[in-house]
Amino acid sequence: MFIVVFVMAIVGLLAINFFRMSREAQSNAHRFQTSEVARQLAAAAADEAFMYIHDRTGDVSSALFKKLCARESSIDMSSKGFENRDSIGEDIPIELTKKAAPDHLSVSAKARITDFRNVDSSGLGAYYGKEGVGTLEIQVTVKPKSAFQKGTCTIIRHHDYKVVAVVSARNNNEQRTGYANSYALDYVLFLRDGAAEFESTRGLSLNPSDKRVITISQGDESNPEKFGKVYFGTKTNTGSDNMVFLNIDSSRESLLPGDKQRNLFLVDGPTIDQIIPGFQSSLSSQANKDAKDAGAKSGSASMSNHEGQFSFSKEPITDEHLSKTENMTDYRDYIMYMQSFANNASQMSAEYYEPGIIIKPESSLDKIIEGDVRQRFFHFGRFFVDLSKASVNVRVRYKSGFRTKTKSETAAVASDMSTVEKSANNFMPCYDPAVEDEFRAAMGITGSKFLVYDVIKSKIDATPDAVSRIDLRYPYRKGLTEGSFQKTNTVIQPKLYKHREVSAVSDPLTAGVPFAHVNLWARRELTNAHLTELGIFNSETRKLKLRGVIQMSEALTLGKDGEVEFEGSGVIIAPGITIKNALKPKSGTNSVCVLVTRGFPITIDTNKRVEAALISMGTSHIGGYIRALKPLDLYGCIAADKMNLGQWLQNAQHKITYNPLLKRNEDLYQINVSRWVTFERVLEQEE
Amino acid sequence: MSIKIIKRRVLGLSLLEIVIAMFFMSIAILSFFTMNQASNQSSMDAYYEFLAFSLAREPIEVFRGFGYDYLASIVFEGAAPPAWYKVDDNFHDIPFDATADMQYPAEADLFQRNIKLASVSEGSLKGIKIIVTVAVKGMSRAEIMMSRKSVTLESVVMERPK
Repeated sequence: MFIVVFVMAIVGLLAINFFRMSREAQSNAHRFQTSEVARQLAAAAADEAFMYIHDRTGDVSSALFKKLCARESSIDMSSKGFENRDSIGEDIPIELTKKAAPDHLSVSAKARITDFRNVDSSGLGAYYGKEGVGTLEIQVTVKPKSAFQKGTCTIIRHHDYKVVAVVSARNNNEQRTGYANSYALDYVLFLRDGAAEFESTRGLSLNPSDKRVITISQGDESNPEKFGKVYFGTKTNTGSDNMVFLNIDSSRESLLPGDKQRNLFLVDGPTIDQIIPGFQSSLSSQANKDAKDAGAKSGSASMSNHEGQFSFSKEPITDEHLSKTENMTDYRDYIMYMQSFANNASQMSAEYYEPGIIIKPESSLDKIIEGDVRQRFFHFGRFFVDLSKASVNVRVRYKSGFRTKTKSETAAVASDMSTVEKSANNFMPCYDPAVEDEFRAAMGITGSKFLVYDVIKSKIDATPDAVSRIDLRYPYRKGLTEGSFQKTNTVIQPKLYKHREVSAVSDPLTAGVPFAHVNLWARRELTNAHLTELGIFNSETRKLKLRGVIQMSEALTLGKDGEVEFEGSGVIIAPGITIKNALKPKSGTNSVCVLVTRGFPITIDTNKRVEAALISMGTSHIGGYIRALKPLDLYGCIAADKMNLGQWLQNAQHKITYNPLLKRNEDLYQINVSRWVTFERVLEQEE
Repeated sequence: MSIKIIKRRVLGLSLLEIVIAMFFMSIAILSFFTMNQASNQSSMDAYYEFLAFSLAREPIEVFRGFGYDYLASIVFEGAAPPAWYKVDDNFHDIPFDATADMQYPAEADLFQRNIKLASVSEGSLKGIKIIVTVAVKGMSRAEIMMSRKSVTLESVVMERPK
């Protein structure tokens, strides 16, 4: 009996054990199933969480965008100690996955910043503002709701993300304190080598010989805070040779500083006779001629009580204005030659064409122009003889029988007002006596001078406004008073890449290139096929989707098949860009499109409105510029190495209107979250 | 001495005792066999369910690899899915074929599979829901062993940026 009980006990134990094992196998199968379902859900949830983040970070007004951009403490654990990290993270809704999940599983996801770098890879240059490169962690947890916790699955994925400022805030009353990718967008017209180009073309780069007028205006003229600046890049870091000028023409007379004309001082008759040595003799000769013509033997005349008036007038310097008055262009050219001689320089152009650039509103030029931009006008120091009080004594000798008689008669010139007026309008140019003498001697000019006023040299010296000059001392502003000259020691220097100066462009790395931080570019080396493939540009619907900075390896042509509409804010860098039709933002959006070439031109082959910021700046002196094959209507801005006006359509009116969206009080950032998973960890929790 | 021999003989098992012992023994052995059978069934149930589950998981993994655009072309444009993964309302055999590119365990032949795709969205997020149901074939060994006759697995493949 004992043996039977023993055997039964053994068999019973074995049976129970076997049963337990089989139940365990079943349980394990269930556990694996649960775990696998959890893993599937976690993978789907991680994808959905990523898409949610990708979608929301495309909207600059979304809460998630703002949190990520600002790296709020609730989402950024990069600067926290290990013990404080678990509570950090932003819950990400994953509704689609939750709908697909069985009832007994709960799904949750959160995202947080694990790492962020706001200094470029060289470690030398800090990114602007909140720009930088970081790592975003998406953590998804799927776990059974019941007490049976086996099968919990957690997936942790890391994605790189980049924050880049497409437009950075700029206070119009101050200069930037550091490099910003988008600094060129501060300007409605930025010419990096503007001063050097101006010098090499002797001023023709801004005052072209053939008719090309570019009108620069502001999209919001009522708000100076929104004005786009105008800047002609300096050649050197110091000194006055960074100056450029715009000729004043008839349309811009209102810019002339101070009094337009003013009388300076009078000289008496004897002095006049010295200043104009032939004055009395020519009067007498004329009287003699008139007397003979009248049958008299001879005649003579002398004038008394006449006065000489020294005065000046400020005249537009262009041919179109001065040629309306006889001899004025000659006077201007004569003074120009003398000035060049005196300065031992030939840098000033002999031509006086109308300016190629008109900047509006003229009342706010002081708020628009940066750097040393001056107005060039003709200060006409002049002299005329005032006959209003003069009298002429005429003596005529005539035959009366066998005798010669003399008749003398004195008359006031004022009795013949036409003579007075004629004299008053007969201006004679007044030049610097010393310079003129030296110039004439050097040039071998032997003819008589207009005026010989050495006798009043001290007077002239004390009254420099009496002397004609081509005036270049005043800034290109409106409402200037007399003597408010340009401060030549003020050299504006935008802060360029890695804190280098605008003129230091001898090698590519030292260039003032916008959007120079390649680490912040969302995509690189794209082809036109990529643009279509990646959904950036749909050539059929002609929609352009912008987000952050992308760089292409091929030239880009927009608008081949019609108007192009863009949405979002971003920058396209390409080796050559051509725009063949209107480029406009999606209505109702504040989209910003920036098109950049480096060392290649941007060609505008349409007269329709192009709403974009155009930047053509080389990495060295390759020289970027804009080509306008048709009358340009640009709503945005232009930044280029050179103006290269020869590439703009002749006899055309071109318009550049600054888009106020480019001048902001706060930065316009874009976030690009990479689709690629740089790290993944799957945790399957046993307990 | 003789008394001892007599006593030893008296201590031996009687037939009745053996019968009783065999009765208990048979009950125990019967229980053992019953438990063994139940355990065996549980194990095979778990095995087949796991197999069914793997067969359900497979197209989800493959479709996830294909990505949203491919699945969307099947859903919206009627593009044909790969031959092994027919997408319709019917159940299809999962044949064992040693010469085929795709290899399944021999027991896969005991199951049929149905794959459905459906478009889902939440706000601007778009996805394709994959629903895979693997059912045991009728009158098969697996049908006897399995407590559940089908396994359904769902997942979502989200649209991703390119």
